[in-house]
Amino acid sequence: MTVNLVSVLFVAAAMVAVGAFAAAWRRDATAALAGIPLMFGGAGIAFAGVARFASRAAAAVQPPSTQIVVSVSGVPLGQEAAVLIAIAALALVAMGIGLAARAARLQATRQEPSR
Amino acid sequence: MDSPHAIGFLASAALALGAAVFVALLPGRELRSLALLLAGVGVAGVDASLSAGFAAAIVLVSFAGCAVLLARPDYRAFAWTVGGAWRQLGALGAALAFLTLAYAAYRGAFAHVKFNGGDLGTAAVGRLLLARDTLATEAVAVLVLIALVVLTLLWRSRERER
Repeated sequence: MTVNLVSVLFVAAAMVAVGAFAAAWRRDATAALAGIPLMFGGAGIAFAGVARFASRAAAAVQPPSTQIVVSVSGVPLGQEAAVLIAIAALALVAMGIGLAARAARLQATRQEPSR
Repeated sequence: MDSPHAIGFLASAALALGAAVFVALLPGRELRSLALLLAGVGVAGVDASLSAGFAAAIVLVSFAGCAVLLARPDYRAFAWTVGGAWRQLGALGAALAFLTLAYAAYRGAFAHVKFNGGDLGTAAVGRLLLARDTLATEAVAVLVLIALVVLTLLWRSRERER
């Protein structure tokens, strides 16, 4: 069985969808934050897959040429995007957890006088 | 892609997707964090089988950090103020997004090419991050700094309340 860009995009789409599902399904906002790394991870898989199967390589080798092609894969922009996305996911989860904890404390202090 | 890479890709994809479903459905923050860590291992495996070893390492660290943050002992639940109908619409939207993306991937025509970028590609990614796209790297660094500042401020305000 061969793996091509379609397989990679299927997995990436499924990861994004499951992440969105996790974010929408959870009533607790702090637990819903777990959907962020899943969605961002899916996006990172798509970027890494595009970098791996980039058609730029085909464009580089298709015209007949006497030049020696040293590297036909091009710069790994998709891998770079995957790295940045992963770091951004961790930062967003950290910020979201802090904000959710603050909101939970405010909610608790507002409910205390009404009891 | 040769057979070991293909097997690694499929096994890692199954692990990532299975664990991601458990993240959505499991009760208890410890179990969810464990499932998130397993999903991170799966995503890192997928990246590694796509010859993106450096990205795989960063993804693993990112998922592990998220799992640790979500498994903290001072975890406080905060309920959404939006109604259940909106959340169910969001879940249905996730299913529709998957169908649309899967259909687009299935119908797309892609070129088959050779890849010769190496397994890790740290030098090429490092050149991109630190030389060519420095602005994007600095933007993410600013985001991380804002996240750390917000966490510090909230932690200090909590300490004052005690």
